[in-house]
Amino acid sequence: MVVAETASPWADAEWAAALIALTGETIGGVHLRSPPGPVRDYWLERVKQLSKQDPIRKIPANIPEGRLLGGIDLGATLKYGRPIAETGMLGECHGHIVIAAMAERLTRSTVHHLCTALDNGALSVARDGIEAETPARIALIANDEGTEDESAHAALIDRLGIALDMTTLGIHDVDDEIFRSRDVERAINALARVTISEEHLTALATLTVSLGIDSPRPTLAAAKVARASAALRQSEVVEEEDVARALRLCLIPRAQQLPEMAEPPPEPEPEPEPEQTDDAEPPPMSEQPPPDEERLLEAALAQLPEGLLEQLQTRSARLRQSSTGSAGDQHRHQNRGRPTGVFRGDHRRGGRVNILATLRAAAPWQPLRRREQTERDSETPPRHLQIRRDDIHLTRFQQRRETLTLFVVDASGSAALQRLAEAKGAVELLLADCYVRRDQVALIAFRDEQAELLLPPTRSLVRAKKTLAALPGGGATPMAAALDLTRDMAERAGKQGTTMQYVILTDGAANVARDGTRNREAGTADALAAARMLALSPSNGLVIDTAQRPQPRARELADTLRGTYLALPKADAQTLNRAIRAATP
Amino acid sequence: MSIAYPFTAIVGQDDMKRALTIAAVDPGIGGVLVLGERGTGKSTTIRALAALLPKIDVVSGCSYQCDPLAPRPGLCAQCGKPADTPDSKAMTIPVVDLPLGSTEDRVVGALDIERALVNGEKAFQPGLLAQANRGFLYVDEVNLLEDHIVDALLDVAASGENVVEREGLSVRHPAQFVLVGSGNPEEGELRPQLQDRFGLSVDVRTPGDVPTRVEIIRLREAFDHDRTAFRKKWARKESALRRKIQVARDQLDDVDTPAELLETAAKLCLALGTDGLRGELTLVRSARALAALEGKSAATLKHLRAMAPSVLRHRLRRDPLDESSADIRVERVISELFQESVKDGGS
Repeated sequence: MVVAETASPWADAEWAAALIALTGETIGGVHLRSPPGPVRDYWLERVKQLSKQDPIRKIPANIPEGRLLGGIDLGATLKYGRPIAETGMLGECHGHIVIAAMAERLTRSTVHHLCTALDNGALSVARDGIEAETPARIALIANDEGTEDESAHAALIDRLGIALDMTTLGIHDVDDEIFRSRDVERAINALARVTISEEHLTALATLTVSLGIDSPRPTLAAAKVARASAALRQSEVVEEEDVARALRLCLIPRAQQLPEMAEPPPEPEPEPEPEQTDDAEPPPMSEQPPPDEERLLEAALAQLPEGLLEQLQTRSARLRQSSTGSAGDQHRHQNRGRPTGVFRGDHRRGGRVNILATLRAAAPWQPLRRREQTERDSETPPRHLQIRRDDIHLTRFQQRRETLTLFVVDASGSAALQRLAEAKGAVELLLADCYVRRDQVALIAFRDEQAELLLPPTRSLVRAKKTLAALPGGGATPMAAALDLTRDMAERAGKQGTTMQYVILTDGAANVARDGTRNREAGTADALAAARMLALSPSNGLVIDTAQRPQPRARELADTLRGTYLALPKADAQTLNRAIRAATP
Repeated sequence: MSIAYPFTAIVGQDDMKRALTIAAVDPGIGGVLVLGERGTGKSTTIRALAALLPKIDVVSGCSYQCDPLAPRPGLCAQCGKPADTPDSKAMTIPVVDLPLGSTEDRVVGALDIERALVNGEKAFQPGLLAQANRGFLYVDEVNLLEDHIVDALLDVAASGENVVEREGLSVRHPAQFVLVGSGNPEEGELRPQLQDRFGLSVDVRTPGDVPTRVEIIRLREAFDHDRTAFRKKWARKESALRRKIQVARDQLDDVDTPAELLETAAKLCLALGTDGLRGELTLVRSARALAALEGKSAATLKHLRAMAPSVLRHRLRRDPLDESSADIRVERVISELFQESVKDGGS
């Protein structure tokens, strides 16, 4: 079988299907970014055909932990009078491909268990009086239907070797089949013999670094995909074509930065490795210099569908956000008062009794308790159902209303250049306070034409600090835009049941109107209008005047916002903390 | 059980490997916290440790791995009864995984459901804490652990004893374990109470340079290709390190602690303003453990200096924003202090 390299966008998807069918769990799986639709269905159909695995089981996003991991089978246990374990879904799928539906909605604990299964090929379960290690070697296809700011959890994505984006593929892009399941079967035998040269490995590692990928997992996956790709071509040597494919399927979709194509990566190509063996097969058609990373990358990029390169930048921006985006998601769900689990507890101390869990806990003990009661008191007939205090399970809700502190930092020229450093210092002080109160924090910066949400709500202060430190200064002051964005955030927070407070650091000199024109008067008018709107939201505000000499402008803004005003020159740590506490309900 | 990647074949990450080895030498050090991003080999290293650890003597048939030679009061109810010296057997130091979804009854132990159902009798079924006695308890993603499990863990870790009161059962048993937690700080902060519980803390980072990465891939590929052969290839290094740990464990009690060391430890903690005495104690203990590991008869300032960053990093007075510079702060104080003490020694 000779595979003609087709340039169609579908080719990579077809290859990915064959690769996952061939390598299965050794590369973890596929992060499949695609809206639901016929293209995705067809692709999954191809995976089924090539892997000869039908049906492929699906893990629903809201699967309960017990079902995923297994536990005690209550029905069977009561019937047979001895504990009968029930295998969880991950255990049942051992050795198979599994689909995670709506991967962007998976709960944090489901993500964790999937990661454990992918890492260890086994799960240790310790629940419901059962303790076992179940083999659970799976290959996961994560159907990620997330739109712009939603994505599957980064920890999961990191473990899935192949990343496939089919969001741009339409039904007309679907092309001919390249493989038959026979090809995959034949490749299985070939795979063990495929070798990859030192140069290619080095090239992959170098490219990982220059694409800004931190984790070594994608590189490992890329090496495996390259070998599998060679096996699918019925070749025993990994060639450039395979490396380029691995690059497209494993590394480029995870790129955090575009490598500088003009300058080669800083590493010189001959690696100073003492035990380097040079007898590995040289790549064929090697009239050219040894596979140099830049050329490989170019080759890989050349085969990418048009327009993908441009998407890369937006995608990498999205990826960067997603690492906490989804974790934040989860907190948000909890905020809505969603039940987040059950635990054994005392109902007299408050809390809602979870009847089902309580009965479940009590059920196995009934024969024992009835007998005990009969022994103690043989006259009264034993009650049918004996529930004791130890059985009581309560539903856990997120008890505390979350608070979000939103920092709105003026990074414009008028305020920033002199005072930005001090403003940053002040924010750090406030951040420390937020840490003590376990608040979430978010950061908006505004300068030039627009206001931007630099940091979506997160609990990670490390990130907040990093983002803040990297904040550039200079330009005009689009105050109105910043206040509008703040109001957006306040509304969103309100919907999630989060209490939001915001801290605006500015000198109050608005000079960009809502329509983007630079005009001090229009800018100020728009800013005050925006402030009046924001004042209607239930959030509390604090305006910190960062001007060299406190101006009436910032005070006017604070008054319009019905917020607290504070001039930075007089604000030391204590004053700031007191002020923000006063602003907190 | 799947074949673990050899501990000695892990590329780089020396801080983490040393901290875990030190904890294996002296379990009293109080646990190891490993923080780092994804894909830094946190879990791999800790799982590799399980295959490396030497054997200990335990009372045969005891659910809590009691030490047959230990004084009675510290043992479980069964082994604590006055009797002849019990039968003992050797077993590998346990490394127990505490999975994230664990229920409280499996962690602390509960009524044995099987015996209740089949024989209708009340019996205690030991939980993970019992299994981890005298060994390691590993919590992956410790920062995401449910609060009530964390509370149970903290309570037991502090007292070294697990007390279960349930269904009229009243059981107490020893539960002394090295708590090893790993997590990614970007996915959620660790509760401060839990953080302070750990004796040592290490930050792991992804190696950035290409040769190291190539090395990682090559080794991992070789491992995945043939796990048994790979382990065999590393067996000599593994057993050498195992022997070293064993010897260090045996000689730990004989390592001298010069007064100068205690003084420096106190000065160091004072200069950094760490809370409580735990920092100093851990500092001295880990210096001794390191000395034992190196086969030295006394702990020196060199050992103290080597361990100081791991011991103190997470104990600095809470300044959450200075996270990146915690190491620098420790390092600065150390270098100041050590120059000074060198001068003192000279004069």
